[in-house]
Amino acid sequence: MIADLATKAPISYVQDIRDSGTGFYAGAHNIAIGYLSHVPFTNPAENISISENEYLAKVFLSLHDTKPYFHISKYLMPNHTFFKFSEAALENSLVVFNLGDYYNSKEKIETERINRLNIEISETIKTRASKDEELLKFINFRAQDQSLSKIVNFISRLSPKTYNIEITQDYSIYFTLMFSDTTLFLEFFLEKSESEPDFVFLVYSNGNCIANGEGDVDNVSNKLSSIFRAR
Amino acid sequence: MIYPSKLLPSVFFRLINPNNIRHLNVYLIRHTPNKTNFQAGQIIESSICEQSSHIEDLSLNFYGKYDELDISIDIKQAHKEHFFSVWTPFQRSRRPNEDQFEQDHNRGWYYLPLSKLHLFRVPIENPLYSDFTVTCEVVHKPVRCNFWHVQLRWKDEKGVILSKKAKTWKRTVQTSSKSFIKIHAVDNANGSQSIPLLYYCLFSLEFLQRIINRVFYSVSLQ
Repeated sequence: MIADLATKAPISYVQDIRDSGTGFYAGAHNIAIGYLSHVPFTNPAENISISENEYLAKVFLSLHDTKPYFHISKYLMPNHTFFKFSEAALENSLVVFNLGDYYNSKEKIETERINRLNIEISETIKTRASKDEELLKFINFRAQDQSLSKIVNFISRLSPKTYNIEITQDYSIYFTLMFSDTTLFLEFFLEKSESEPDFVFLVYSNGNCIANGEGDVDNVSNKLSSIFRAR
Repeated sequence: MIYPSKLLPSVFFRLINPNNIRHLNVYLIRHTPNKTNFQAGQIIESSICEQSSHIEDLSLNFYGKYDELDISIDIKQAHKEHFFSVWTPFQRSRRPNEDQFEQDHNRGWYYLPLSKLHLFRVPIENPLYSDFTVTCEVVHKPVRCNFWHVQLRWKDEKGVILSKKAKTWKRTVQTSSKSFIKIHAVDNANGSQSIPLLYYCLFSLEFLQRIINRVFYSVSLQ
């Protein structure tokens, strides 16, 4: 079974994975985590689509914009919606990933999914910040008041179908979170202002703005929680 | 390359009232710094405009006479003051010389449908001030070298332009405007219409016909 599910990737890609800092690690002491997807995603750091009931099959590595990603397509294994690789072994200049664990528990899947989203969003922001000193200062500042980690946790718990993160030239983080029938736009202004809010959000459905608001991380999380609970 | 004369205002032109063309399938087009502007079907934030502050009076063009081939044209810095100054009706304009403009072939573009954009309303909640509704208005603002230039204005219900309202609105306006454009921006203008002469030419047959009809109607009423 494990052998059937093993897949191969060029060794250079694995090295890239170890060094990339994207949160996807492979190797003897690390575990690579992959998820199932309806649509093969092109870059999970930018755009993610998750389905809980797809079939696991081939898992292979690729590169996009120098970031490695797992490409998972529909194939063999029914009903196992979460899996881990237990090891990556060298074999004829290729690295073979062996499947270590998989399970169906909805609770576990949900927890893993939230954790994964959390890691991915945080890593995406960190990766961008590593190229921009000024941005890094703002990120560190927002790490101190915990608003960044709070909002990332909150977004992860909302479990969007897809999301996109953009960092603007004037140092705000612009989140676009897509759900089945709504889109949430949430802008986090990293620079603290006396007179202006940290966050501004708008919720759209069918081309119409159905809710909006602003405030600090706690205000905005509370407002959004009640909006999304009501839906 | 010779600057395209189809972009220049004519003394026979008049300002286009977007209210009069809302029923048509007119699109607006805006240039972007790069060719890649969409991801998963949605415009990327950095393509909407180069600086967030520009969103407050975003420049676009009526799509039709002005098309994708004109996107690359950029007036050189030294001549911008003259050619980008506002055109007023009956003013003569002259074509920029070859050394007064350049082409940037790296530019891309996106489209916005006028009917969805013009007079679109977004209710805004603000705990510090009373809630109000933001209205997006398309304003025809021809410049000396481009008759098809328009600007977006974001106004409250009293018609006050939001960027001039108070500094405390800056972030709210920026996020609202960007999200609004994200919702409506598209990468093609399939089925779009050029604006008929009637709506901008003083001497179009349709326009003269309309004037004559109006005169006859008022005479018959007397």
